[in-house]
Amino acid sequence: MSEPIDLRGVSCPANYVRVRLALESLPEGAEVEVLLDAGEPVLNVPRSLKNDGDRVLALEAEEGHYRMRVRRGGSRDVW
Amino acid sequence: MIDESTLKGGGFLKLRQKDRWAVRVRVPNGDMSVEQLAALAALARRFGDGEIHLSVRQSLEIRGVRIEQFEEIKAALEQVGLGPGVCGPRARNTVVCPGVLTCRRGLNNTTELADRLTERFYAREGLPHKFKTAVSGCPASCAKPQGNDVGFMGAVEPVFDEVEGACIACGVCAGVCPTGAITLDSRGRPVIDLDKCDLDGECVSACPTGAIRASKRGWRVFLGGNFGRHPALAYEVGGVISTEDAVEFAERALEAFQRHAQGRERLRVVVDRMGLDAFLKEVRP
Repeated sequence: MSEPIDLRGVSCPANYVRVRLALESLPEGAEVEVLLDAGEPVLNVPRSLKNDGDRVLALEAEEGHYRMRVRRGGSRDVW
Repeated sequence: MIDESTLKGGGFLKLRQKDRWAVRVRVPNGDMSVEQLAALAALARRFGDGEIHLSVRQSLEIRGVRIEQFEEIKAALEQVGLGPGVCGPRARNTVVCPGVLTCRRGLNNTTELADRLTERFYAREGLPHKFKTAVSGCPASCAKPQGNDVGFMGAVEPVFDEVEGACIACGVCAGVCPTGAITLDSRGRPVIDLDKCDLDGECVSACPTGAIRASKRGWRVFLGGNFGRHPALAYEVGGVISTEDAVEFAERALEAFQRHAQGRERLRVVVDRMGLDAFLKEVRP
């Protein structure tokens, strides 16, 4: 897997939009790794992705932030 | 000339200006089509003073009309599927938030319940005083269910279901819970204390894998709230009930209000005089 998308310091909803755009550029089933701040970002971004039909595979606390692995879901009308 | 029975239905208010009235227009669930809005604008231009007022309870008012024009305005409203609002000692329009259909926080179908309440007793007459209802889709309470004679709030009871979803021990559920009802066990999995839970569904929506899901979806119930001269927040009467039961509860509360009010009293005064438990016995025997 390539470098994680580092969204530390990026606030809601811009962080979600960045992940969404990254996933949209990839085929269904592709995975990306994302670094998210603790607090609002980690509480909001995973739920928005779930709502879009993507699958959060892992979400682990690291120092001051979270590392999330997400798999792009099937085609859908998100935008 | 306007006949007496039309006047009794309400929906118009005398303005300070001589011979001028406002016609209140009900906006069901706060939603209007652009066609309806355009028709309303045309009516306001033709009959009113060229302005439309937005009331604090989701109605629109055409201001500056003459009372003789009321029938004509009413007929024109009906042509585009609108109708007059109500005022006075009647069952008022149900104030409602957008709910689950569009709001990301919504937990239940607010407009469906509001439509059912409307169908059941909207504009009912012969009440001791006004009777207001509100439906909010979640504890954020945008529609202020606690400030109405009867109010409902969308509620979701969570359950951690190990079989259905694979918990990835991320701890987001515990982080998102505003009431501290979720603790994590030694493996990082949630333990939900329903006594502390305010049924806001946050953990269900935030859980990235669906390992926490809704075991029950319904309405929390509020009774006896009002503002006015003596503001009082409603009593929560407990439990999570279905849409059907919510309609029945509201109807029975309305009937008990009618039976027990002494003169021009709001529901809250009746409830406090009788005692909440005694009043509730009348509502759910």
